[in-house]
Amino acid sequence: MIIPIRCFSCGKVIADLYEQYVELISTPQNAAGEPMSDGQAMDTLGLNRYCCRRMVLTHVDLIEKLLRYNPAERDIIKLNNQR
Amino acid sequence: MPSWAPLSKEELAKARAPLSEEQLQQRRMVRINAETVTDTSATDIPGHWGPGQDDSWNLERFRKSLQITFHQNKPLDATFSLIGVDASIANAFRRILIAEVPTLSIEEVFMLDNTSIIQDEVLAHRMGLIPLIGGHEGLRWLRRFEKAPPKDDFAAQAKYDPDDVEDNAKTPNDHNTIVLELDVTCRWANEKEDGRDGRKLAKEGSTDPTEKYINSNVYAKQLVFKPQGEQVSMFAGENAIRTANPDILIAKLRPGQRIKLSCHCIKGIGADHAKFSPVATASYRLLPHIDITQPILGADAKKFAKCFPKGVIGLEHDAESGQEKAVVIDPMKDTVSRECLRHDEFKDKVKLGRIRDHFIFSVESTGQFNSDELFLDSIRLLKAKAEKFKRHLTELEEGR
Amino acid sequence: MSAQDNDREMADVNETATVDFSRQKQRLRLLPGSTETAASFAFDQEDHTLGNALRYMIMKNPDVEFCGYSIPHPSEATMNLRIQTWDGVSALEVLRKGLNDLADLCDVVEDTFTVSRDKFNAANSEQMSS
Repeated sequence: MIIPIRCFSCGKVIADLYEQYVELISTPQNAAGEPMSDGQAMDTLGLNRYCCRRMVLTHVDLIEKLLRYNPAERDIIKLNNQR
Repeated sequence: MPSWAPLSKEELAKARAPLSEEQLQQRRMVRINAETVTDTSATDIPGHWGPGQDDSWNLERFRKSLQITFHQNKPLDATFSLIGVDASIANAFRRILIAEVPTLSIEEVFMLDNTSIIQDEVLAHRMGLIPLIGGHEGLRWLRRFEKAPPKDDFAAQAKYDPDDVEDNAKTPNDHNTIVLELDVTCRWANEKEDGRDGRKLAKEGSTDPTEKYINSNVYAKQLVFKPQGEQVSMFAGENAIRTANPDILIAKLRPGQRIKLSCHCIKGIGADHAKFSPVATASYRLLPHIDITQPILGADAKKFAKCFPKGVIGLEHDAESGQEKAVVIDPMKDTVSRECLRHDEFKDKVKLGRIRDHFIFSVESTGQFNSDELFLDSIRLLKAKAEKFKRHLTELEEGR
Repeated sequence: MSAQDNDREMADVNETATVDFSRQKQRLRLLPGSTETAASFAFDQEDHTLGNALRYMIMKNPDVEFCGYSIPHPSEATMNLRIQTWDGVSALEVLRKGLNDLADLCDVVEDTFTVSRDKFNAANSEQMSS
């Protein structure tokens, strides 16, 4: 759901790296305006072992979907309808 | 001559002679063959090599033969070679590092308000896994809180003896408990306080939660340390208890949701819960050994080098044949894949092995203590264990 | 603050000098059927960490015919150690020598470790700051 605090296998803290990881693979990182590849991004963040790499590589951030079930989101829809 | 015939003088002398230097080197080797691994057990036990070889414990001999060389010493990652100890000793240090060095972690979480979509128990578990740091002196000064086990945990109840616990350790107090608090409320960004109107941004189609809302992400740095009693002086200034990784994402919120909680942190050991383990990994491997018994030349040498990771095998000009010759440069980089044993051209030209008493340790701390300090702690803890049982042994003898 | 016993599960490394040991529970038992030269001991709350290390140190003693350890059941925190000696040597004395040797070994490892770490830090002072 939300990124786990630590790697399940070795215990390395990974929750602080996930946002940086998403940043690296989704925004331009070089002169050509290309984002980093997954592998490069993980190397940059110091995720060297394959146990830690799978934690960020395979994570699906479902909390973003669940957060939509919130009155605040309804406010947005209402606002849009008023337009 | 039959096998039971008496030995001649020379044969007798040979049987009673200590091992030669070469034999001593050979017995340090674990042989790695194409499909088997042989000579795995240590043979430095008195009597194993006959009466001539003195393998009994000798502190001075051990002091001379023990070598420790560092390869890297960063606070969060130390690598060093421990040469000249038995696997049982090296393994004891590794096991103590993982499971027995005491550290501070969040143990109890009191939920005062949690309207986020992360459930109480999930949130509490996440809090527990956050590594904490603080002044080392204060962390060592902190005592252990011996919580009475829950009433329905019969196994723990059977082991728990209230008479065995100091009165001071039975209740949480400033000597054994650290209090941290977290109070975060998410709301829409507004013009007055934040200089931007979140609702307006949403209307305009903004999808970035951090832009529209305030406190949409809860980070570990938002935890507030509440020093109690003597802790005010023990954890003053830069010694304050805080998280090792301030950017840990604890939860995500939407406007109107709130997390308000109070945590009690206590000291514990990794055997009890992995959150108390001071290391992310503490591991060792044996130093690989590559023995090229006959020269490998020319194109074969290039192929041979390709059987190993980069930097393990180098090429050198061989004056005798006028060709390039394969030489071992850095066996430490080898992964012992045994690829070279699959090719017929290297048959009988190379022997692979590992050195049985050369441990390449790698200690990766989670932040509370430096990696090298942790290893020193593990040595002291093993000694404390030995000393403890020495006392128990004296009591046992007196009691008989 | 009075000296208190933190020794139940965890020995506080730097506190050994001030801990009051008289309150400690006996963790070492002699198992039935033991004789002077062949004895089995039960170590409570111990595992392979001490078991294997101690077994090695005792086997290093030339007076020992046999030494082995086992953990009879994985859910019982007990470690059994068997010692058999040659020539009427006391098994208790052999155990004591093993524990002494183990403690001495730890001192030597600690000294060597500290010396080589300080040497490395002095040679690579820029690495520590990173």
